[in-house]
Amino acid sequence: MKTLLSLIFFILSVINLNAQNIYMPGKTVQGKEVAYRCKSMTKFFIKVSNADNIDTTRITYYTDGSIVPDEEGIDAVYGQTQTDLQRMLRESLTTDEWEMIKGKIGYGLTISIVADSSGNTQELSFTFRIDDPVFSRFSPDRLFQLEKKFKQEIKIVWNKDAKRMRNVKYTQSIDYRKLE
Amino acid sequence: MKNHLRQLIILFLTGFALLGQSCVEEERLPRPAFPADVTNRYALLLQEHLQADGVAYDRYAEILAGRTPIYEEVRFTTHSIHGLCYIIPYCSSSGSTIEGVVYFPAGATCTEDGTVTFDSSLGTPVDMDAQAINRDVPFTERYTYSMPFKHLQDKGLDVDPDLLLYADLLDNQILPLSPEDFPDVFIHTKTALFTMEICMHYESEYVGGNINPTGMHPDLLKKGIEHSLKSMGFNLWECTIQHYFLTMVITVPFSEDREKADNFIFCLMRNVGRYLNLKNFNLYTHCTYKLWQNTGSSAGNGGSSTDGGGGGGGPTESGSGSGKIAPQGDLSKAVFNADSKLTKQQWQKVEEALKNINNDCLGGRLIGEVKSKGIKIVHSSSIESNGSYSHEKKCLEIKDFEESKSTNRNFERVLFHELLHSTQTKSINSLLNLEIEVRIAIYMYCQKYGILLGEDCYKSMGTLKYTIDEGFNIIDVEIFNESYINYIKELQGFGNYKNYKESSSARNLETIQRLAKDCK
Repeated sequence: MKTLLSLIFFILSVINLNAQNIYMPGKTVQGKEVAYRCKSMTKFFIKVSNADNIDTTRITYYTDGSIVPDEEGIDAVYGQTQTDLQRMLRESLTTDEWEMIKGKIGYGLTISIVADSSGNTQELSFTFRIDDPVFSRFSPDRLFQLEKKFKQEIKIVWNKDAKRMRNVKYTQSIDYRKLE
Repeated sequence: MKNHLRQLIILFLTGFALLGQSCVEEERLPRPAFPADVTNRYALLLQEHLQADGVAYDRYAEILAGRTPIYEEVRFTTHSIHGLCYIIPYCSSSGSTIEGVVYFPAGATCTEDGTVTFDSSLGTPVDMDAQAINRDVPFTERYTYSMPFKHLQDKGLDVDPDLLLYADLLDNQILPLSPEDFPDVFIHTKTALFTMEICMHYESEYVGGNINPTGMHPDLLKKGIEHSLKSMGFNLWECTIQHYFLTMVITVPFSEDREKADNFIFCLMRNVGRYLNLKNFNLYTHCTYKLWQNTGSSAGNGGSSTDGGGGGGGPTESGSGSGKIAPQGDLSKAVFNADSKLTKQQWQKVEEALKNINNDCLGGRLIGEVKSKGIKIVHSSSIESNGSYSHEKKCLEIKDFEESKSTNRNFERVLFHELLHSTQTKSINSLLNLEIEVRIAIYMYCQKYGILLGEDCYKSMGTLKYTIDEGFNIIDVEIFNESYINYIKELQGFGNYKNYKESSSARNLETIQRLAKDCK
């Protein structure tokens, strides 16, 4: 009887651990080769940023060092489509995980990006719902793999003769409603 | 018969009851309750007229709801835009800082001595606070709005610094203007010489002994200008002076010398000011001008000069005023009125952007809705934001058409943004809500068509977007509300929006929901 109770207690503990969110506002979550800082965006959303990210301002500069005025348009286009982003995400998730988020209304993954003057991604952060069925429990090391993948593939392409900027801040998002 | 009689009695009693009800409501009409210690004669006159005119009082009460009028500083002036009017400064109900004024237009009767007197009728009041002056009023008219606040500050009153911006910036200053900043009211006279065209906005206050509310008739101003031009050696047959759509426009033959133009306007305005002083009026002016030659090409010297009581201004910057044409392209012609004058390249950019907007479901409906509005589009490089729409003037200002950038869709975004504003019902108490609604539509539009949007002013959109569907229906009210509040804080962190009022009852997306209804 004692053994049975212990077993039930153990199973419940494991279930409870699995259900726990890894990313909590104000915490720094440590992986094997990365650490992520967690910041509350709203009561329902959390922003998770690589602890090595250094550009925490909202300032964008022209390449000559002058500051780009608020709301100045970025003379560039996205280097990837929504389909590309969805593919990158699909490749980083298991089938079960994909099924959990596919078509889910009210949820999504927002990626805040800092790009350099060539359009390449320098830094990025993730924002997702605190009860996201996948990312709330996504290990920091797996998140780091996804971050590296995004960094490698996400870019902006400057238009011809564009006045180039650096530390360009923009966002990309993957709406789970659109996932198939 | 008995039945009919009963019905008649019931009808009679119902009618009587309704009559009684309307009488009760009439009695419930609020009465202007100016404090008993008010001594300002214009405030007392205003009170008297409001007591006699219930409709005017309703308007007065509505526009000043939640605000405290400063009765001792009520003025009665002639303003180039509002005509004869009361000017009523106000503070918020909780503070002592002056946050704006209400212009309350007054009906006028002309008299033979060039003055006008108040005919006891009151028009629709107009609220002018810092954001209205610094955003909705064209640059070329801001001085006359800002200057009265300077006077209030000089009297020792606490004034919102944003209201003083243009009084400080433009007082006796000459500033460069691009050709697009010029009001589109100039009348071109035939001459082979250079011509100077001065566009004059003004505010004039009666300072004489007449106890009745008195204002200045534009003809008196005309006489003052004629008198001054004569005294400066001009032949009046070479000049034209016309009061043209709320603006006094003066054209005089002139040399190309910009420095001379500088002195000339100062002298002219000083002389006009002196003339009117003798007629018991103070005059404050804000002039813009340009020099042009009637040979098909404009000389294009232009500037803006202001004067606080009798000076003039001159040129500093040049710019081409030629090559401006009426709307080109089917969509541009449909959306913008014939007074809109842009370059061919700018119209191309407008047409291209309108085509893209029209191809979108919401955008197409937007264009359908604005077609009948008769909106004017102008290039106004001096505005702070990328674009601006004035509901009062139905005027859409664009800072940069980005004609040289063929692939950038930033201009389309700005145009879409301002056109969306034109379909909203302006409410001064929920300007921030209106802005947020438009930004939500813009964000979704840019996402849909891959238009790159900086994170500036759109950070909270990363969470807000998941709470609405394609028709902008809110699918998760709790999260929407929280993200919305976050977005309010985000926008208020930007200079332009910090003074925008927000109303919790206006947190809706009604306009874009209507436009996007059944869109896939």
